[in-house]
Amino acid sequence: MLAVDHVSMTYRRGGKNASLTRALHDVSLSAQAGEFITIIGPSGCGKTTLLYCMAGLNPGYEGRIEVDGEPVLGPAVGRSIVFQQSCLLPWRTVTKNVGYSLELLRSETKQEAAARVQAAIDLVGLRGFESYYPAQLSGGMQQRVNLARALATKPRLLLMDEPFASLDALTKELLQGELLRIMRDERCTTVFITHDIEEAVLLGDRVIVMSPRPGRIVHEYKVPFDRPRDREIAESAEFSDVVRQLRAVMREELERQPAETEPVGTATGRRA
Amino acid sequence: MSVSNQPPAVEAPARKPSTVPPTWTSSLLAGITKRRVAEDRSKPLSRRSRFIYGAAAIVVVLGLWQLLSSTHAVNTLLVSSPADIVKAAVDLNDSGVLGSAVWQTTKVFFISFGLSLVVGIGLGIMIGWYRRLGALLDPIVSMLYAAPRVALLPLIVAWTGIGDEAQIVTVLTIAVFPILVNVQAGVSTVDRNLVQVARTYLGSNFDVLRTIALPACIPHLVSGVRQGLAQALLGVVIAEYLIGSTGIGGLIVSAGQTLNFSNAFVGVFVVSFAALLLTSALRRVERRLDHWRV
Repeated sequence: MLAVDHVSMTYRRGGKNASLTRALHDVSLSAQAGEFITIIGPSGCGKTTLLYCMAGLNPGYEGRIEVDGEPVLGPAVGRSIVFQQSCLLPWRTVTKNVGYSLELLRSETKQEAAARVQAAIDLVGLRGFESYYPAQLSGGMQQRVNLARALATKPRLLLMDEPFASLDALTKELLQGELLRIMRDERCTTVFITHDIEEAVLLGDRVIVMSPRPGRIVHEYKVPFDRPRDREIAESAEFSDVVRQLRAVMREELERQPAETEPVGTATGRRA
Repeated sequence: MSVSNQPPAVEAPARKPSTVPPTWTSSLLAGITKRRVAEDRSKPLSRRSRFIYGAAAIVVVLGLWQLLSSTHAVNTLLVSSPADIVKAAVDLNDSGVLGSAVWQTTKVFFISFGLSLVVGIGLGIMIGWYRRLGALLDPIVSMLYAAPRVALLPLIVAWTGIGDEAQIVTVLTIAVFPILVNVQAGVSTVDRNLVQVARTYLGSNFDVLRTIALPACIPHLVSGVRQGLAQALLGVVIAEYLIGSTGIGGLIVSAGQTLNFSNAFVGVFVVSFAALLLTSALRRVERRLDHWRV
């Protein structure tokens, strides 16, 4: 369904002493229809760059990215992003923000769009908050709106860019559970970016580990838990083992890096 | 300080309460040296108390003025007095002079301010959105904005003749710039993240303008309009003063020339009151547009 084939990307840092930064180096991965893959790596490893390439927002990549056999040359119908910051329009209510994606796509009639918007709002648990403005919502609720806006389009490929990174631990756990529940019904192919190992294991069918400078894939791990899942699996010993293994792999990979590289594993023992 | 060094069994000797009764000097000293924690400044004064304070200040100033005039502590010929000004206002009103002056000024003001809004908002959006157009026109706009536009007056009069048109053009050249510059700034600074959202869902340039740039521009627009309003009021009186001596501006000039300062003050107060009304009306509009800011 999604095929990323030998993708590299080089940024030119502007200004007087312009320099070239290799953001992605020879990245290849694929995802089957309905698969949920998580991409994990330390900050600055090019995860977001890769996601934006898949979305078509970074058309200047080398290599080839295909979605359903079609090369990604720009944004397209059927691909939605859940952004890292909620990126809501502050002057629009929840309903109008969720409807923003459909409004721009212009693919539905007004009534169909309204029905879908309401369904998406219900799905993310925001019923009753339809007329609220973003400033009246907590960070977690803003991310629910962000998710609903993406889901309202019924995407075939859902791209999620560290959507829970800026939330407090409890809200994050709550939303992870909600996402598992939502994904039970909306089986769209999903690429989820995170720097939290437990989150990657909890949500993903497959975990892809990236390493920085230049951003590249260093490890791939098939998560041994079946779907449908719920947050309970995170309490199991098997889960802890998987997380421990993955953390060891990541640490090993990062130790090959120059000393400046930040350590991974900020997510240790965070469970309440 | 070093309580922990003492053996735990022995309690630190309790300080004996001061037996000296507080004198007024000691309590004054205590009042000065007492630590006062800064107050929480997040809560604004309520609208009602702001109104009461503001009204009280005006009443006090007018009262003092009347007192000084009534006791002849100041020369009433030069500074008039509130009572004389009210009397002058009534006389001017009865003779119809005030009414026609206010009508004339109102007419010129609203036509020229309306034109400033249309031109300022329209051009501001254009040069804020089309970056090449902005680059093209920026130096000219900055030059004109910085130039003392009253200097253009003789030219304007030469082009349009002495009449309302000259006044309208003058006010337009004064009031249009703050509106234009603010709208341009608002439209040209769009949130990059929001543009990414629009791009993801195949939004066009026009969609970005319509759904992101223009709504985000409204606070800039309001502050531009506020500045433009103040300058337009100033401009209309100056224009009337210098071109044709009509309206309130004309009333003030002729009153000044005949040393009838009560009449001049009537004109000044009418303009000040109009300014007060217009700004509070604008604030009302602003609150309505800003409801999402919570």
